[in-house]
Amino acid sequence: MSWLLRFLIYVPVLFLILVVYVGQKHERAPAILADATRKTVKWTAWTVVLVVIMQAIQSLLIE
Amino acid sequence: MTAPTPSLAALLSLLVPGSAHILLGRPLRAAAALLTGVGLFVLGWWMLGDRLFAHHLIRPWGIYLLLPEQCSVGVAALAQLLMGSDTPENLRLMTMPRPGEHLWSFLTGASGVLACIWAGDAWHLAGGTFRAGRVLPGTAALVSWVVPGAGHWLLGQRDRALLMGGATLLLFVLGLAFAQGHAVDRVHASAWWIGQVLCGLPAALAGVLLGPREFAALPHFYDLGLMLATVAGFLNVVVMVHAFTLAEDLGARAPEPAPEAAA
Repeated sequence: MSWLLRFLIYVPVLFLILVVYVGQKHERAPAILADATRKTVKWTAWTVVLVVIMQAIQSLLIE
Repeated sequence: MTAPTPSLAALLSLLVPGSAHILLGRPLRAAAALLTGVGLFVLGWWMLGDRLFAHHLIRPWGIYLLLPEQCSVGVAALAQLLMGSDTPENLRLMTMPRPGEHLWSFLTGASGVLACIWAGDAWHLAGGTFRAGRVLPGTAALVSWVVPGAGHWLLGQRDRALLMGGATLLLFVLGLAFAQGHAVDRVHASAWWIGQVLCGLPAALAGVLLGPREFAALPHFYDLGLMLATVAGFLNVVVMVHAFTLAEDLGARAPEPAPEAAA
């Protein structure tokens, strides 16, 4: 599976999970969607960092 | 007769669904708990026999503790005590498919989930914080299990109902789509099914209508579909627990009924 396809599946799924997570804290739809979007961007960025580190470890130490 | 404490009520309800509700003076809820927590199990077990446990013939025995049926402790323990011995003949019989097994095994699994919900309901009722006219936490959790988000809708939290329930359902449907409809199948993917059954009616419909369909080859994204449908099930636990605690909070905040209204 290409990286782009993985990314296109991962981000919407992460968003849906975060909608449920932040829905516990906020009552109104705009607040839920805004917080879920903010957290999706944040966790996507952390995921990219993690994947880059793992790829680097694989390239440098394993392969 | 003194009413049980919340912990004792929950424990009694797990052992025999409905028993705590009888002690708490709630006969209708007791009957509903008995019918759903024990009745569904007995019906499914009657139709499947030991085949019920064949989907999980995985050693070590710890896997049995993860089955949703185990939450209806008394009746599940009885079924396992009555299970045939581990002879090759018995094991061979257990692996023979039975007609309608997707439906019957869903019912036994559902009985465990419902037993948990009834235990929570008994725990809340024994706490004595119920206000007349409010949605009971157990009811909110129950309808959330059946249709994700319905508990919030019942509590008047429409935005949360649509978004939290909608996200859970969408994830479940994505799982089904990636697995080309084969994501919910207790016979072939029994471990994943343990999580998926937490999605209630969608899992029942997918398991009963789509689960038995034959497939020549595994769909390309079968694993992804299984995982997404299972994640949706676990997300629905978050939705159910939140509906339960929200109903508790709203009930606690509700004003005491006026004396004439209470009379």
